[in-house]
Amino acid sequence: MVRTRVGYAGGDKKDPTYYNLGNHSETVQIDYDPTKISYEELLAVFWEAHNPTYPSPSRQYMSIIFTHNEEQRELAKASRTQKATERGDEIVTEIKPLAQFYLAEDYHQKYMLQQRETIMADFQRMYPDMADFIASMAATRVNGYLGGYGTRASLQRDLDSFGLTERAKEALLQAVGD
Amino acid sequence: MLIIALLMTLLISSLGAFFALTKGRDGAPSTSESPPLPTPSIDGQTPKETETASFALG
Repeated sequence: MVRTRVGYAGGDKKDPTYYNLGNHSETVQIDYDPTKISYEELLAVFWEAHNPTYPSPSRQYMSIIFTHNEEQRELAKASRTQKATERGDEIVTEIKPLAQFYLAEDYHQKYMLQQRETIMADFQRMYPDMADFIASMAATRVNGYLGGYGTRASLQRDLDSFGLTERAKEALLQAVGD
Repeated sequence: MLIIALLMTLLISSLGAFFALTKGRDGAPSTSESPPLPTPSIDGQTPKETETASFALG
């Protein structure tokens, strides 16, 4: 995973915001290295991360695969068919081409990391510009660890590559725990 | 004497307020006073060829 960002997509309202979303859905966008992880593997994570048989009462929390090209569309459709067979239930997930992705407000980006003041202070010194912070692979990884993903061993291995001060490293290790 | 005590109280309060402003809630130094940090090494290794996937998952 290279980087992630959160935003709004799928609707027709121009320039949506969290409190004025129109008919958009909350969406995560992932830049990935296809030599390290495949789109099929990302789809597998997508299916595991939520209940795709649950019909959402609102457009804000829909289950949607936004495809970026024809290959993704075909893989997504095949994956949905397979998932429906496995579960023996109707999958409500929509598959549609991504028309436009609107970046969510700054305070939604790398949310878990932004809650950690000591670690965040270092990132603000590395990346005073929010756009650079959002694009940072280090910020994405640290946010993931703080969200409970990855292992203690992988964090120990990655720790020196994040550019953090000793104080922030300690805070990160403490926050992640054992 | 009362005036001196009052002035001392004001001075201490002001210093406290100043340090509260220049430090984070957990005592982290303010970013406005800290020198920039170099870019993380992992960001220097970011792959140039990436693909993008987008999902809404409830």
